[in-house]
Amino acid sequence: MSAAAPAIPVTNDFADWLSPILVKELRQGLQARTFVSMFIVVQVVMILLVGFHLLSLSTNAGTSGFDGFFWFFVGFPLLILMPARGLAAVSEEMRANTLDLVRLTRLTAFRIILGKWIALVSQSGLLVAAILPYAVLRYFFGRVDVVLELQTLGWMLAASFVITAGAIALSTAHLVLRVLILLAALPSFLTFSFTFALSRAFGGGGYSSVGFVPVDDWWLILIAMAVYVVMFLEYAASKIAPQSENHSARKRSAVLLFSIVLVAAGWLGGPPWYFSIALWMAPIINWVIVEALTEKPVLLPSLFMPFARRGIIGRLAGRFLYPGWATAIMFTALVEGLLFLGVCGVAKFDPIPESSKLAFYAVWVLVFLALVAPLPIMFLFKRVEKRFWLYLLIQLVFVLLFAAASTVADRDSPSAFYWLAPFPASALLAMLSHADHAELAAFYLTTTSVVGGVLLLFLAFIMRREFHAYSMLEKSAAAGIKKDSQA
Amino acid sequence: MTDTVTSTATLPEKLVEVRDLNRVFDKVHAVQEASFDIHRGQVVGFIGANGAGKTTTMRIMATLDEPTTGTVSIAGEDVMQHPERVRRLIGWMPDSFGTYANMTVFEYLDFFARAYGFNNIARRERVHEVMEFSDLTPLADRPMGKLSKGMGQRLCFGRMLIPDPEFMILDEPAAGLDPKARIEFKNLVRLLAQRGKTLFISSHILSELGEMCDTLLFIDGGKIVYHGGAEALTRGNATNASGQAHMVVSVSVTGPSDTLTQWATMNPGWSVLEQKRDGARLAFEGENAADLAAGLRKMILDGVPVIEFRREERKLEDAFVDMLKKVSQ
Repeated sequence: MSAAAPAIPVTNDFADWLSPILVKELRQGLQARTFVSMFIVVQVVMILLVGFHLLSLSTNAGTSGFDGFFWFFVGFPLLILMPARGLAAVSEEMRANTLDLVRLTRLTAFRIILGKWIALVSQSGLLVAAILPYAVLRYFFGRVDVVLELQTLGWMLAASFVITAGAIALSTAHLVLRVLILLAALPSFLTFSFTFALSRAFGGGGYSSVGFVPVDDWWLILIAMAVYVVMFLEYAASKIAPQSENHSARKRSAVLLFSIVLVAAGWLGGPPWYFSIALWMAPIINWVIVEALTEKPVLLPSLFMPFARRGIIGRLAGRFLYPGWATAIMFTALVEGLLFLGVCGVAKFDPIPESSKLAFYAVWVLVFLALVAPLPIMFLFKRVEKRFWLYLLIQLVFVLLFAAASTVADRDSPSAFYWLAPFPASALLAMLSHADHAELAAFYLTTTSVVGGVLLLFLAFIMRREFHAYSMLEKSAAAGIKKDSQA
Repeated sequence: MTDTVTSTATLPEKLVEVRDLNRVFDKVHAVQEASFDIHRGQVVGFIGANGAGKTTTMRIMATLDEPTTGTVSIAGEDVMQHPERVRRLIGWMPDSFGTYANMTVFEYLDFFARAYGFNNIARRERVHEVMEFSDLTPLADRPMGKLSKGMGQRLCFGRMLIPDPEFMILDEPAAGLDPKARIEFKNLVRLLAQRGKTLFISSHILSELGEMCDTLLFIDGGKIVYHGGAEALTRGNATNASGQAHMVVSVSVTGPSDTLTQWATMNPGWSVLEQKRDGARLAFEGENAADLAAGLRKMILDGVPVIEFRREERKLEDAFVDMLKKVSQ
């Protein structure tokens, strides 16, 4: 090496305690052309808007139009451009073949994803910090409620956090799906923004005048946003994690926790609490259940260690949390049971009318059967890798069967829907659309239960083999633990 | 069939044990019943054609893929049972690595040092050591996107060294390098070998592997077909199309080479491999040096004006091709 070689730089730009991936992402992100140009454009636009605002004040012209454009130029980068950068967060690393190298370090999949998210939202935060002076400046021009403006900015930032997490989760998906979602999201945002801007320009309402979020539920929305962020990040982590990391158990545990919260909400808070929380949590619960039901079993001994270490209770928990469709059936039954328990609590406050009870029970039975019904069909397509999509396709066929039945059936004669009984998802839709027909409920409760019973027996027969494999691996894990402790 | 030539009597303890390894992708059986050992401090070359199963085997060893059946253990740790423990022992250099945008060479190594848990002064020292060792110091401030292929490979090599791994897996590290970069790379491997590191290197440049490695592993169609030293291969005889062993000799003559080639065609046991202006490369179907000496004596007695007669050492590439022929038979 030559003596004239430059010295190795001593960088103190980021503290040691910061996540390595965050440091890396910030080093890259803050220098990225997209961020720098976006930052400059937003600054220039803000200066121009304030300038025009000042001019309009001196000429006594209206200023409401500027409000609309102000919020558009705040919202567009915060809710679209910055989160859109998350769409390439994982895919870019996969394409560049750099993810393997990071996975071999001490960083877990979740830490990698979390670091990426924090880096992106920090840059959004930086953007908001740069906009803040202009938001406050507008207060001095009058006719602006600065508290409400700051509150709106805060909500926008929070929404940006959630959308960014969603974009990172989406970045693990196929390019076509990402482009489709972006194409779907962009026009809706632009339409909403321009309508809002025009309505402000021509004297309509807006964020500042009506408030962005109903204040009563703000804490519930914040909790829901946090939950969505965690679940999106967990989803992304599960997509890049090696099989030896059991992300399935984490997602299922989270859903079990939400279900317990719902039980508490049902028994202690009654209908408003139960249904508010259920509304927010339903997409996550359904998504995790469907993902679990479409998982292939992973028979890696290391996955069984944490459960085997906890003895009988651990092994019992494993029957619900090991990755794979077999445990997912048990997990689905448990979640549905908990949700049913919650609804029973709700019924204490708001009793179910006697005439609707049969339909109520029929719906609960059909929901479970509808969820597991595609599994036997999926065994016919063992080679299909995209099991999640196959599952959705099968459910879509059931929906189409219901649609076909609806087109020919008479609204008042539910007997036209009897033939849907062997198809639980179709029967569920028929039941939901004819909740007042006790006759249909009774028919489905008996017929679909028989069909469902046969289906479950078939599944139980195959599950037995899966659970036997789990038992063997638990034994081998327990032996490994014993050997380790002796060593 | 595996041809194992190495004697294990004098070797140091085993660091890597691969047993009955299989990896099936859909309909492709990428690795089939592969079993071999790597001993501590060895430099092992892994040779195979494209699609032979080299990268798959290496990725399983690096905990980046899971075997369908079989086991791999590194320093007694099973890659399936304790992948996180194995990761602390290994370094992995893939055949191609992507660059990070807006990042310098120093920042890249600093990131990996952080990711491997080095803090503060220890991190700076480690990055410094690695940059010095890999001769990356002059490139510290250079953006990754502006590195040549050779520089990029050196950086990837440096990154692999950050955690000071005991066992290093290098997948085609010399691919696409110019001659100078190849020599630099060979020197780095030699330095690591001197430090007692264990290296597992795949390459298609067989002659280079022969120089660098203590042991060679040949893989073909997912099966290990040879495990042994390079010398044992190059000293051995080549085989012709019908699988018969032969020696290759290079003969120079005075005057036109036709005299020599005509003689070779007419004499049983000799055949012409390549005719040159001043001689030819000939194949001699003989078992040992005494047969060859008798053949030369006859050539001179028959009036061929020989001025140089040299037995060629077999190239590793030829040995590899012969090995594949032998396996297919």
